[in-house]
Amino acid sequence: MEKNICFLIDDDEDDREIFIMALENADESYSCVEAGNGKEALALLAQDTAFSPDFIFIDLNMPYLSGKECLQQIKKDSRFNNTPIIMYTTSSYSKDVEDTQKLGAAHFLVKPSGMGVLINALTKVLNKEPLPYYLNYTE
Amino acid sequence: MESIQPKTDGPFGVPVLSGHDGQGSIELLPTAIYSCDVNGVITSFNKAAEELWGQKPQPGDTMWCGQVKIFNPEGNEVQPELCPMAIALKEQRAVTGVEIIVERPDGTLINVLPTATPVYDALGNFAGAINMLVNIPHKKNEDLLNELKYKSLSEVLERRVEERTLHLRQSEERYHKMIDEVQDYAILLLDTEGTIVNWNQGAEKIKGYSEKEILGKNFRIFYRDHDREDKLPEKLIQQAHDTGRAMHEGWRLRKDGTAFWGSIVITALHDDDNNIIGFSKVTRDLTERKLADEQMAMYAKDIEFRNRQLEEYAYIASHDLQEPLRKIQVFAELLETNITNESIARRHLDKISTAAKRMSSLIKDVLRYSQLSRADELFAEVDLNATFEAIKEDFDLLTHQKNVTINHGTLPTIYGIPIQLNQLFSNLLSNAIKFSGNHPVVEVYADELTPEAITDYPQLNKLHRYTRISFKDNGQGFDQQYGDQVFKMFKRLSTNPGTGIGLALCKKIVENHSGHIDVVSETGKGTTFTIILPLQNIPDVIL
Repeated sequence: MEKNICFLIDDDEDDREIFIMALENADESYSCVEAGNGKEALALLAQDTAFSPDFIFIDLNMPYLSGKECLQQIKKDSRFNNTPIIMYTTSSYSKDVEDTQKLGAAHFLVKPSGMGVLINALTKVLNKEPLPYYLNYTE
Repeated sequence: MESIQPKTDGPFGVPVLSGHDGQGSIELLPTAIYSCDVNGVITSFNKAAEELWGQKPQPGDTMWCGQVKIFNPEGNEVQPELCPMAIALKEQRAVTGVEIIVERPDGTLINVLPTATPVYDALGNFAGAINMLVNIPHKKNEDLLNELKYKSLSEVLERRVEERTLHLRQSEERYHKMIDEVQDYAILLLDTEGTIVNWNQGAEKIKGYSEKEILGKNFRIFYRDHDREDKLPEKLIQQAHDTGRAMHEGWRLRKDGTAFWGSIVITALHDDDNNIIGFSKVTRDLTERKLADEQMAMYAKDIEFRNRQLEEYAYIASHDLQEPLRKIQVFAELLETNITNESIARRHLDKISTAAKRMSSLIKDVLRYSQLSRADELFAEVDLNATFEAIKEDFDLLTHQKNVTINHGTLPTIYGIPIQLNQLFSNLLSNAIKFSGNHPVVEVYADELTPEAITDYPQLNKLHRYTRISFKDNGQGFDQQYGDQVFKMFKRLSTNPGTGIGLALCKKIVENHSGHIDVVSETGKGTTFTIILPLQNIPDVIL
């Protein structure tokens, strides 16, 4: 059976490791494709035109190309019109939340500080449950 | 005074003056006097009357005023039937106080004041009138009259001219005084070349020269060297010449060399044929206002700077410090669930330890950054050659290990915060070594920014002098499009060690010195940081 795909764009190796661990626990049907920064991600999307992830998760604070710029670029590609893009970041800065919503992101998920919380959050997002834009389970 | 009593004993009862034909007192009176009957026929007259008329009337034949032409003082002829005697008879009333002019048969004129009075007989019946003609001696004839007229006219004119002259002189004096005593404005009169030909007390007060010292000098003397080199005074004169007026605000020099902020208006002065004959120049000393404005601008800049800092700190708190903390929490949770698996547990412990170390260094950096404030009392003269030599020694070991060549020229002495300038050079050199290639070469050179180049940087003050120091390496470099990002706190373009605060610190140090920093880089070729710092203490320049 072909697996569903989450495309994770994050420059933090530890965070990618944590995400993959949580994803395996949240929904076994998903596998993760990783990119270490925005530039790499855009290159991958441009190269493999058949690549069609079910969800895209983007970190905000990355070198070269910020998460916002990366979101903007991906949104330009009609291929991803129906792909939910989730900002996945440490930041809980209100301007970042507003800006990314305007740019068309589906959710703003603040990286939780507990594995269990992250697994729960991912489960809800992948199930496309009705959720608010701003998801902060750290408070 | 003896009154004349007319008698009504003449023919037909008409009044006659007694003694008119003989030696009577009336006859001898030097005043002309005569009488008429009710019909206006002259019945008697004395010698003086005959002389006044210049002819002898025929008693019983000559009417009213003795066959002479009479005029009013305005020079219009009065008809005989309207003469004072005729009116006194017609209206039976005394006519006095009306001056008349009598023209005698020889053409001479005489001014007289008649007094015509009606007379009555013993029974009270109206019997006629007598008239006394008093000669007005100062108006004896027309020549005299004209002479008098002209004399008085010329006197009046003369007096008026004198009055006017006095008035003009007073007005001019007042005007001069007004200009001269204006204290708050320097008012100068310049000739067509800009040479000072006149000035007021205000000018003396504002510019500090005495009138003796300044007259004959060109007004260029008030301008700073580079304004003179730029031909600013000539440009202003030319503008006033071409458009009638030139306005300008800028720093000017007093005699003692101190600067004041002058607001000036130069106005062209024209003669009646519209030729320019000179210029007026009005200068106001607005130094206090200028300093207050600058102070306000500085406060505004400071507030903006602090706001940006607060935002940065908020971002650090919400992001950078959260990141390692979150990792510690997540890996601690994972450690708990894998506590029995030693290799996994050890790995998670390593992660926790790394994150804690990172957090510790971040906190230290944030503290260092926040303590980097602009504290004016720390400003001093700093010889950057000495600063750079000391830094080179600090990095001695590292430069030997990596075989780094450092070339540098003479650096200036500037007014700055020694400890911060030390840190600035240290961070830049450390950066150059960290990202070096195979045969690292670091080049550090300085020159003074030209006034034209200063205008390329809007945040720099055009009145000050700046040094430009370039810090060039031939290391890894980066894509120029990320040039802005390198100065942001905790922003790293590579995976090399460091918290990403070094260049943010450099930027803050340069800003603390009211300077500027930018970077030009090319991947694989190297990076050049350009630092612009003021050469003098800025507050000193203003005051």
